[in-house]
Amino acid sequence: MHELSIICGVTQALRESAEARRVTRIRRVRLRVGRWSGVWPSSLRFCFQLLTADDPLLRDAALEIEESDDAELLLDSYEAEAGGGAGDAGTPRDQNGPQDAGGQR
Amino acid sequence: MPGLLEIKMARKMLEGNDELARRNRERFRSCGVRVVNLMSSPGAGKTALLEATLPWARDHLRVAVVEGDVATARDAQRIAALQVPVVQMNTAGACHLDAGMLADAVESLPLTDLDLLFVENVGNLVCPAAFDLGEDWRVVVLSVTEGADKPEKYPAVFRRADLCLLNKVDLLSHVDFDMEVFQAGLRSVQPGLPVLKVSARTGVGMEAWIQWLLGRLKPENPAGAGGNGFV
Ligand SMILES: Nc1nc2c(ncn2[C@@H]2O[C@H](COP(=O)(O)OP(=O)(O)OP(=O)(O)O)[C@@H](O)[C@H]2O)c(=O)[nH]1
Ligand SMILES: [Mg+2]
Repeated sequence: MHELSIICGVTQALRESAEARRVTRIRRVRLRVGRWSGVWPSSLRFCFQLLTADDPLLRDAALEIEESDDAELLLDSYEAEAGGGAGDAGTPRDQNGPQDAGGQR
Repeated sequence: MPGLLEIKMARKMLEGNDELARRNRERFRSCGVRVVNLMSSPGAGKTALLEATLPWARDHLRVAVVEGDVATARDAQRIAALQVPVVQMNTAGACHLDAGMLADAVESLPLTDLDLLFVENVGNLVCPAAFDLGEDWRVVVLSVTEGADKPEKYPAVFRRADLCLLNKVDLLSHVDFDMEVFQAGLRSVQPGLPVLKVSARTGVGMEAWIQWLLGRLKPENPAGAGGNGFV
């Protein structure tokens, strides 16, 4: 029932991170949804579509949801098109680098 | 074709709520007040249990109540009738209380003058389970009229509970509640979760529930000692 507000938080975090990295198109978003979280993956998908349909940054993004055996709700990672020309769009495949602090607070 | 860049976020989707819950917890600790989050489906008897508990509690402890409801102040009026300080939160449609709402609600309570705060969550067996409020203990109420299969069907709330109150046991002979099925379901979801059989109507089991509360409140029992919640 609160999937919409959860996805609002996710798209917000993605937009902030994308802006900080000057990414203009996201192709894939990976979530981890715990079996015990009380949240339905299918509702998350529905809300994600609803909230991204008009957004050039996110409308082509595939949403991948991995189920975990806990109660966590995690925005794990995303894949974006590299090199819109702008300098510091991040290092390709830098998943071992420092965690994204993309524009929070 | 442009290459793909993978960006690791590893960020909790409820990070905002978790942060507010952490602040609540800190605030409650520094004020010396312990907090119980009562959760159940609509009508399981949360308010009735509070009405049965408060006359005793009020004589031994400094207590207050936060009532969470989608609409109306009915539950708060029931509590206020017992001369216990109460704040009503209306969630305007939201299916659960969150940590921010609780932070707002307690603004009008004298936290440093309290020993125990009961929070009655919105009647809903699903959504409240996901939202840490900063409470010390999570108590889930199930009534025998709802059926014995509920722990397995709504596992999240039972899995993170510190205590289960099985309410309306005065009605056991009128319904087909199968105690074996209930116990087995609970075991599969959270082995070892303590269960107390109670009736807010007749008062059966209230003594054991009060003993449980008193046990928690002993200074040597650290807050959140149940360890099943978010602490
Ligand atoms: N027979 C019987 N009835 C009970 C008992 N406890 C509660 N009730 C009745 O169950 C109904 C619902 O009780 P409430 O206390 O309002 O339930 P609630 O969980 O607070 O409901 P919401 O706040 O709407 O989620 C009322 O009519 C109560 O009188 C009980 O132990 N035995
Ligand atoms: Mg109530």
